Amino acid sequence: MKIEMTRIGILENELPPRCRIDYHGRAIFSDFLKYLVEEYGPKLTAALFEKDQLKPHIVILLNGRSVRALPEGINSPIKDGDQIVFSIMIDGG
Amino acid sequence: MAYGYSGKILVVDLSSGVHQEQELSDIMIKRYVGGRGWGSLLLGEMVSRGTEPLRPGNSLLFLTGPITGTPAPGGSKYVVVTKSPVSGGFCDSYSSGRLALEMKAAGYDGIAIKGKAKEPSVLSINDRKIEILPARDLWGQDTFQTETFLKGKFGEDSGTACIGPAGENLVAFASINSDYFRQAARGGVGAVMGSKNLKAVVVRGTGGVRCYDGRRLVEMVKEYKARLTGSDQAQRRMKYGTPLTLNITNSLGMLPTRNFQESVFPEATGEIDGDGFLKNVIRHRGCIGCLIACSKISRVEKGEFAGDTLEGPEYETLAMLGSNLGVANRAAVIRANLVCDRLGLDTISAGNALGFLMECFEKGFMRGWPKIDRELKFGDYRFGIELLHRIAYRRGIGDLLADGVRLAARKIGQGAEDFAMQTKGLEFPAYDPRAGYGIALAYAVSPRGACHRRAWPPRIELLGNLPPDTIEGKPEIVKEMFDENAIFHSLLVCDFPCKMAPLKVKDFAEYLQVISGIPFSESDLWSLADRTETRIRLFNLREGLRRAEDTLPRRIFEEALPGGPRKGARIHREQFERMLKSYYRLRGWDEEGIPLPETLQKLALPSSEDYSFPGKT
Repeated sequence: MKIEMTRIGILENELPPRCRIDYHGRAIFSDFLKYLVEEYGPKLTAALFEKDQLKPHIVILLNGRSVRALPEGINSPIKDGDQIVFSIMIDGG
Repeated sequence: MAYGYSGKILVVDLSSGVHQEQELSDIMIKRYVGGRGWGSLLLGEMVSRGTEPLRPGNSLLFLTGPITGTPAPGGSKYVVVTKSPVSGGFCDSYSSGRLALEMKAAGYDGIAIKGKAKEPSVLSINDRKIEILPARDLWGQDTFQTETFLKGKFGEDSGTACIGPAGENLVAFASINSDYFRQAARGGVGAVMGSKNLKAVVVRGTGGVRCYDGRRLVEMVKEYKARLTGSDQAQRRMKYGTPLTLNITNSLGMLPTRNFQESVFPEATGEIDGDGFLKNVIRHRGCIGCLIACSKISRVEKGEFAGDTLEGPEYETLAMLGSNLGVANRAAVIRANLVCDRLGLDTISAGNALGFLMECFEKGFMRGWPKIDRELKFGDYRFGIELLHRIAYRRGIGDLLADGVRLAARKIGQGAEDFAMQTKGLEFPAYDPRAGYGIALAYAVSPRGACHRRAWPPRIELLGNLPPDTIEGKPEIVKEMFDENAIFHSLLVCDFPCKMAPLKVKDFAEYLQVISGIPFSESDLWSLADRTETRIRLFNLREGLRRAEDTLPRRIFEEALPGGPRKGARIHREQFERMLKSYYRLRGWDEEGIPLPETLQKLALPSSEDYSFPGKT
């Protein structure tokens, strides 16, 4: 499946700003995340996780919805054409 | 007098030319602390029920807080409080600027301005020397010209607040400007200042703020600096400023586009978003004493707007004068921002007014309307910029928009009110409330009208762990956010350093203790918030703003978002009503939004007999 990935204001040294990833693993978001870590190296793990938990200020959107708020959270299913955004928690603008 | 405070409010009557000093009372300090809290107390006392906002009976308050002028984070802000010509209710509008520090240095925690000057005037405060000076030559000058003149006459270090032509012409969304690019912009405060024939306030002071425990204060600021250095959020805010928000709202499907007809604007990517904006940034700038420096100076290097330089645009402006008008031309947004700043117009409401008119043209509602020489279409930034001038000078079609979208829609008729995006007359900020139920509730119950400064629920319901399209938990988070901001805005600190470091209410309770020497607890501050919000509610009820005003335009309830991640989303009326009732209950108000007697007693507020609620019976 093809996954569209964008980063907004973070992970400048870890991920490209925008790319389409050809992913052949299990269609679960957490597996896709593991794939990304394998692909882009341990720096990405350090940037995203703290003690195996997603850092509080990291925001991940799956098709415009916060992964944290999805019923299955980080184990949500993914499919071809999904859009994933990595961003930072903001508070107003 | 407690440390941290100057101890006095200067009361100036422009009609008589008389001024007096009012001592801060124990109640003002211990129960209302400053800023918004004081505004809630003083406005009701100074402005009689039913006073027309643009008549001399209204008061215009410039207020600081105990943190102002100290080394504590974010303490260079002031708030303007008045009865709004837009809503007819309580209005608080915030700005940062040297004015705040100079007021404290001159020995005043606040300036309360009553009456109306006989001719255009400048109020000059030089320590305790108070003068109302004629300013006929300044009337008609834009805000930059005015400030440059004032700095030349009174000194570069003066604190200033002034209006532009929009304020002179009583435009409903006229701002009060400080330091060229900072505005108390919302709710028509500039029109109130204009109605008083007051072109500017200039303050210079030679005093300072005494802090109770300076040593501990310095330690706390050092701890804060360390916290900022370790905060990824703060670092990102320093790098991108608020424009990064546009990338996020666009990704979430909540970016106002073409007068809130849509909520995604793909053309924004790399143009008017954080990444695009960075291409024009030439340097960073912070408010006085702020370490985050989230503000950016941007410059247009080429094209039809080459040479334009300003501080900004902020997110709200990029969205409301960009995507909301179907404009993805960054230089054009910068020009529109600059024009608004010089004329003294609120960019949020100006963007709403233009977007609203564009949709009226699109729907054919303007056929036969007098004094129209040209149709305004989405994307037409050139005519849009020209219309900003016509609004400020109330020329032709500009006069229609100058009273805000609510009144413009009433005049246009044909159902235009359905898409006049406002609550209580105040135009929407740059978040489509259909994207999240919490935003919808926050807009509806905000006392000054649709407001993003009282609460920002997207942090939890779109970026956090609550789903956007449910009502569960939303009244609770909206109340908590309201209360937290009520505390910050009473201490009068900027909420950005608070939220990015982060600094919590507990931290500020300690700051307040260390500065004032009064043993404030965290719980005292949460009580202050409850008291302030209920007091403001009482003011609005007294002025006739009731439950029916706590609502949203028909579009939000009946038109689903047509595309993007939130495609199909709208706010269901029945669910909205349930949230509203829950919110009232959490506040200790009845189902009509009227504070219960036991709530008034608990908050040490006057009994309801002191207020007559029009229409209650």
